[in-house]
Parts: sequence; structure tokens; C-alpha cells
Amino acid sequence: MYDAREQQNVSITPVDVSLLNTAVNIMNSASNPAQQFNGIIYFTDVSPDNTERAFRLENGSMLPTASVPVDSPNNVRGFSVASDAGIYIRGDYNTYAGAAPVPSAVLADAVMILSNAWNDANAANPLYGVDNPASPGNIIAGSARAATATTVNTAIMAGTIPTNYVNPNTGVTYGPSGGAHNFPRFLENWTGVPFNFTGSMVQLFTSAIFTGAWTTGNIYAPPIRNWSCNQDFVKHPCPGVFCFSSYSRGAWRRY
Amino acid sequence: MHKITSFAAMLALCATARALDLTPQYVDMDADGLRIKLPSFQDGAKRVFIMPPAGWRIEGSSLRAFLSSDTAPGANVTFLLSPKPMLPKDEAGQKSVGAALLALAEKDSENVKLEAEQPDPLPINGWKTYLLRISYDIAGTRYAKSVMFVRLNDCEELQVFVSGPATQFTKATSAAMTCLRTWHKK
Repeated sequence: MYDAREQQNVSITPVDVSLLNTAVNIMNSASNPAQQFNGIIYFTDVSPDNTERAFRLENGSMLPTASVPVDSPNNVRGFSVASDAGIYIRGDYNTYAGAAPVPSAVLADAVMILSNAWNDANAANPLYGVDNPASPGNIIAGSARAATATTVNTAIMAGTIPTNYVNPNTGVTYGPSGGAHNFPRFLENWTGVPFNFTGSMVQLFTSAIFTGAWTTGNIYAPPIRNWSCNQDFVKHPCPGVFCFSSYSRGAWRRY
Repeated sequence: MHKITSFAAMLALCATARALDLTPQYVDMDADGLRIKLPSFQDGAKRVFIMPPAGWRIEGSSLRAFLSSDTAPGANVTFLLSPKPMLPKDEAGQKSVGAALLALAEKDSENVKLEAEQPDPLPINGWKTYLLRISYDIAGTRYAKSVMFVRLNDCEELQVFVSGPATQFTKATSAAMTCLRTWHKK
């Protein structure tokens, strides 16, 4: 799949979350609690070449989760996905209408949001569509990377590319990081389209693999951001996610 | 006869369809909450915007735009709106443009090498592209030069030249590619 920000084809491994539900249900039927799903899945890709690699969470409306009650003492209810690679979230995530969203986290080198309308065939097309040679001044219908309304309910813990980052491979100095509102990365024309997000955002490090520079231009046009913090994380943290008990004040750093 | 008619029709069509003008004009844009000035080129009723990396400045005229930066001394990028298409269509065409690029090595250069020939290095926007790169020595310093043919549409072709000392060439190439990859029309 072509990633306009990374300026290259990214090797994608799709992860059909709806199929994981089936697997988790089987695990949860085990009588021994130690054999039941602990809410955490870790993905890595050890392919030897240098292609940028990522996992893409698809059909994630309903997330698999441990079968324990929501207030169980060990807090394993929920679903956390972690990877040393990038993770794309494609379409609605953790929005199952039949139940409240479960505690969810996505941890990765970088997290990219693809809308419900994402189409791989258009990934390398201009953001606003391909010129129609038969009709100068117009674009070919359906060739734009046009987003549709999408809802994601999850914590995101990932890397970012800070302002004035110097790419170690090319020596090129980047401009602005895009700010916190571009922590989840976009690749579509979201003009006038809502991206609904309830969760939390934690920036852990400078991205090591997904080092494309932030710009808008041909990469994305911003959504209507309907964003809020999921305060339920205080009571029900995501599986496997660390909780800190103390903190210290550090130096101010602009990202 | 049919082919001649089609060709004549294409020439007539292209005479009116060539609308891109590489004279850069800076336009204030809102980039997701950030006010920035972006270089742009007139393209008929629309404008083409590019986003060069930080520290790269662009100047030019209708057929040629020139990109340079203090961060890459001695290196530069030239966008040339080609008066005639040169993107090679076959092996003979590839040999021809390869020989032409080798001839562009500076006078008195040594160890001139054709380093790379790459069909379709930029598979975006429906463009057809072809890249050639050479390297050579002058007075003990290694230099590199590349040209990428970018067929924007049936009537317009860009030739993107990158040249400079080998130590700065990667940086200049990255700047050129960033301009092309952020190329978008509004």
C-alpha cells in the first residue's frame, strides 16, 4: 500500500480483528483462567529487507476481549495491540453498537488512521483525484482519496516526528511536526468529514521507522475533529499498558 | 492516414492543453492550523502546490524552476518543462537518454559512470517516470547528476535534474522527490 506521507509503498499485513474474536472466544472457553485470552496481542515482522512494514487493523468494530467482568481485579478486560512496526487502523474501531467500547490501546512506531472509505487502489493517486484527460479540468470519478466519517475509540501510544527533525538517511531537515492534533496520521481528504475519537494519546518516542515528514498538501486534508478523552481509562486501564505511580518534572521540549 | 490525423489532433490539443508555468508564486495557506507560505505554479485555471523541505528556496521562470539550499552547498535541483517528450519508450530510447546524460558530465571529469537506470521510480499520480543517474570525479571530488523524466499528462513532461557533490546529492535528491511527491493541484 502506498503511504503518501512515507513517500513509499509500505508492506502491509492485514489483521482481521473480527476473526480474532472467534479465536478469542475459543481461548476464553478454557476452564483454566491462565489459558484464557489476556487481552494483549503483539505483532512483529522479521522479514529481512528494508521495506517499511506495518500491520493494518481491519473490521475492528467489535474487539475481542477477555471474558472476565469489567471490574475484575486484574483489569485484563479489553484489547491492546502492540507492534514495533507501524499500525494502520482502517475504518471504525471499537464501536460495536451492542456494547460499550472496551478499554483499548494501540501501541506502535506510528499510528495511521484510514477512514471507512479507504481504497488501496487510490493510495498513490493525487489527494483530490486524477485529472481526466478526456475532460480537461475535471478529475476521474472515484479516483480521489476521499474519506468518510469514521469513529475510533482507543488509546494511542506511539512515536512522532518532532519539529526540525533531521532525517538521518537523507540529511534533510523537516519543518513543523504538525502538532498534537496530527499525532494520529491522516492520508485522505477529510475536508468537512468528521473523525470521531475517544481515547487518549501518549507520545513515547521519536518514530524510528515511519519517519515521513508532516505536511498537508498531497498527503491529507484535515478532518472535523470530534475528539474527547476517555476518562474511563482511570478505572479501567487497557490490558498490558503500564500505570505509573510517580512522575517528575522535566525540561520543556517542543514537538 | 488515420495515425497522421490522430497525431495532428494531438498536437492541436497539446497546443492548448500546455498550461503549466513554472514561475513560482508563494501563496499563504492554512495547513491544518498552521499558516505557511507555499510555492505554487499556475496550471490553467488551477494552481499546482509543492512543499519543498525546510530551508530550500525556489526561483524560476515559465519553463524552468530552480531549487537550492544552504544546507546542501553545491547541490541544486532544476525542474525543466520539456518542450518535447523525452521519456524513453523502449530500449533504444533508454540508450539514447543514457548517452545524453553521460555527455552532461562536466568537462575534464574522470571516471564517468552510469550508476542507475530505473523505469517508473515514482509510481504516483498516474505519472510515467524514468530515472537515470551518473557519477564522476572532478579534481578529486566525486559528483553525481541525475535526471528524472516525469510525464505529467499526454502533453506535458517535466525533466528533473539533480546535481552536486556526492556528499550532498542524497539531500538534494530527497528535496526533489519531496517536491514531486507533494505536487498537488487545487
